[in-house]
Amino acid sequence: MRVTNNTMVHSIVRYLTRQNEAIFDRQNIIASGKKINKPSDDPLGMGRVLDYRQTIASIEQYQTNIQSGKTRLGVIEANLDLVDDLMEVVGAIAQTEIGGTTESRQLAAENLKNLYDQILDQANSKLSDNYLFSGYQTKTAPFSRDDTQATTFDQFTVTYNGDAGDMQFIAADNTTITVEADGRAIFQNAASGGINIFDAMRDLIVGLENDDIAAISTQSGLFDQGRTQIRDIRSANAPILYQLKTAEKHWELYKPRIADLLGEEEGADIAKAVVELQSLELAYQSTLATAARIIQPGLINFLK
Amino acid sequence: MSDINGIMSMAAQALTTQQQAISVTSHNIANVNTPGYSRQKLVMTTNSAVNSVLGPMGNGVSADAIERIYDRFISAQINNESQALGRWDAQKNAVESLEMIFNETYGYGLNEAMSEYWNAWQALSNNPAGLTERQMLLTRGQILTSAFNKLDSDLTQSQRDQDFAIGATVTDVNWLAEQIVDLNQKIVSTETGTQNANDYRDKRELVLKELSELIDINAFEDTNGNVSVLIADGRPLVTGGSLWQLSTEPNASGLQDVVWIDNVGNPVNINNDISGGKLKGWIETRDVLIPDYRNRLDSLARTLTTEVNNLHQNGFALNQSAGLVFFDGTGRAADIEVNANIVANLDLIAAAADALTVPGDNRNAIEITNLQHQLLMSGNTATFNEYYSSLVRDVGNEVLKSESYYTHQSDMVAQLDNYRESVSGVSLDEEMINLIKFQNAYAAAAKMISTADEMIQTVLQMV
Repeated sequence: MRVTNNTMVHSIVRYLTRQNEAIFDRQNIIASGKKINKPSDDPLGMGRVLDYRQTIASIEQYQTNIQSGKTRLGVIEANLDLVDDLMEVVGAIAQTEIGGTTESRQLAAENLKNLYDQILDQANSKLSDNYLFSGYQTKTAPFSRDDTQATTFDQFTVTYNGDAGDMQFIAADNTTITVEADGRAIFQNAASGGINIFDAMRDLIVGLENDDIAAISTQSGLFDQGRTQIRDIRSANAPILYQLKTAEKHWELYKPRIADLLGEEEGADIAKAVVELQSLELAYQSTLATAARIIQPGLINFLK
Repeated sequence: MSDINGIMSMAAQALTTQQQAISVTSHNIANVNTPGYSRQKLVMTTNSAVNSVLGPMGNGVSADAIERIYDRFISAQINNESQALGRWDAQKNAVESLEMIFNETYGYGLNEAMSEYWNAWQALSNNPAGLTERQMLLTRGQILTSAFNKLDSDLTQSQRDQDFAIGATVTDVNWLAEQIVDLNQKIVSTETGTQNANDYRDKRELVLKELSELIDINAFEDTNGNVSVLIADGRPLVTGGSLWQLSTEPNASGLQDVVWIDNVGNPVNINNDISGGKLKGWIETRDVLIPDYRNRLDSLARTLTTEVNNLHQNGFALNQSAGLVFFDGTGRAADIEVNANIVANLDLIAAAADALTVPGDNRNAIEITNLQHQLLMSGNTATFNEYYSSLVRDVGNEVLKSESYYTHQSDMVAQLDNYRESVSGVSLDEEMINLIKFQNAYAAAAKMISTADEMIQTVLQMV
């Protein structure tokens, strides 16, 4: 084949362009640390990268949700634990006052009014401005009593202002975990065979004030039942907490795996890219050297 | 003619001929880098012999013609391949710019905007009455809608860029066609005698090659040396000295269609008949690829709007009113936006499933967040996310395809160019050798003249 100066020049330009492109590619890979720098670098891989990223973002959100659920259960547990302890005190006072005097009963009644309010406070506790035990009515205090009423009985009769709502947390795709939020199930469960803790205390207080030994001894038996009721709720929350913890652990293990997959999919093998870059540079320099030797001389250089 | 004068005139003619050869060599050297130039050579022949008693006696040299060295088939082949090269060149550049629009490599695209949006609903479900959560959801919703808007406007902009390129290319085609007509006339008038219109032919070939990069052409030469050019399914653009025009006219989408003006001045739409050249690449991108991507985005925006709105309207706002639509718009990516009432009043975000269960009810928020896992796209076979991923993947594939066609095609054209160069290209080494050859011949011819002169002096001294 007849080779002219332009044939050589054109082919050298072509080779140099190709080599520059390849070097540029490797530089991009090394600089970004990613082997997929645009969709066309690996269209299928890009699709998977997007899926993995979305999965990771979801997992992070699930972890936040689970944390919210755990916090809520933790606060509920602390509240109910305190209520349990207070009830034990109430029960003990009632037991003592069966054999008490009129004076001691009056004192005990005052004491119990304070305990009553302490338990009411727990029943009205909030987590970041939301009432925990008022169902969906999270901005309304679930239990209220009216101090302006004439009789002790009426003053210490509570109304439930919440509803039957619960609180759901999204722990995984299409999976929600439900936490009880209906205060009646916890504190006023007479309808379902439990006791109404507030009514029991109210009746005890009225009994003490009236020196009504029959009432005192009837009421004193109820508080163990009340504590069982509280403990049942606490035991019912334990598996929910366990469920949340299991989900949390699952995501803790799962997220790094997806992150690994993402890394494998889009991450660059830097060592490989560097080696490739080196060999490309060598080729590039050889082409340059060849070009310098071939393009310059012609017959004209040898003619006088 | 064997007398001294005969020798003298033979030498004189040799001088002229070698000088012409040097002149042709000089023309070759001067045009070594001229695109499309074919090397030329002086055709030398012996003059017809003179009869003598010894038989026919040689009578020196004369220049017959200046010939252009070329392969008539290679040009047609180059033109053919250039059409495909032009097409893939244009399409490659166009889809590479589309790819930038869809590049989600570093996040911040629609994919991320969608997942952030669903996550914001989940965050709201953790605290359904929370102002911060509501504000966050609104912001995520606005980021999502503006991601849709931006993708669509970028695609529209790109479509307009292709449209502009098509209009400009039509002007270029007309200009090149005019040049061909002009060169046809020059070639025919130059070649009416026995001369070759070498340089005009080189130029015409170059113009044909440029034209073939823009549009598919079929060019052939008649016996007079006129080239006729047919384009787009055999419609004449140039026949001999006659010229047809291309133009554009707006179509239903407000884009310019390419039309061919027939001999009575009626425009004929040839948009779908163009099968090569940059015009094909741009038309393909503008009329097939971009509308497809936009439709798919619209379909995503529409389904997302409908599904979210349906659920949101089933829900109840913080003020216990029934939920409004969350997204406003006409169901297209271009104009999807968050309902202005919600933007103005965050309480209108409907997280609750019932008017009476406000504010602590998060069931509707959970319903909406679950939309992300439902197979609502592609005839209920894909999630929103999968649907969009497949769009990004297809854009990537389209770029890969155009790049590999382009590389293949440019290799092909480069090889043909090399072949053409090997026939018609100027080799400086070769020209230097020729130069020395002709220079020596010139010196020798001069020597002949001085020898003849000496011979005449000798004769004169004899007198």
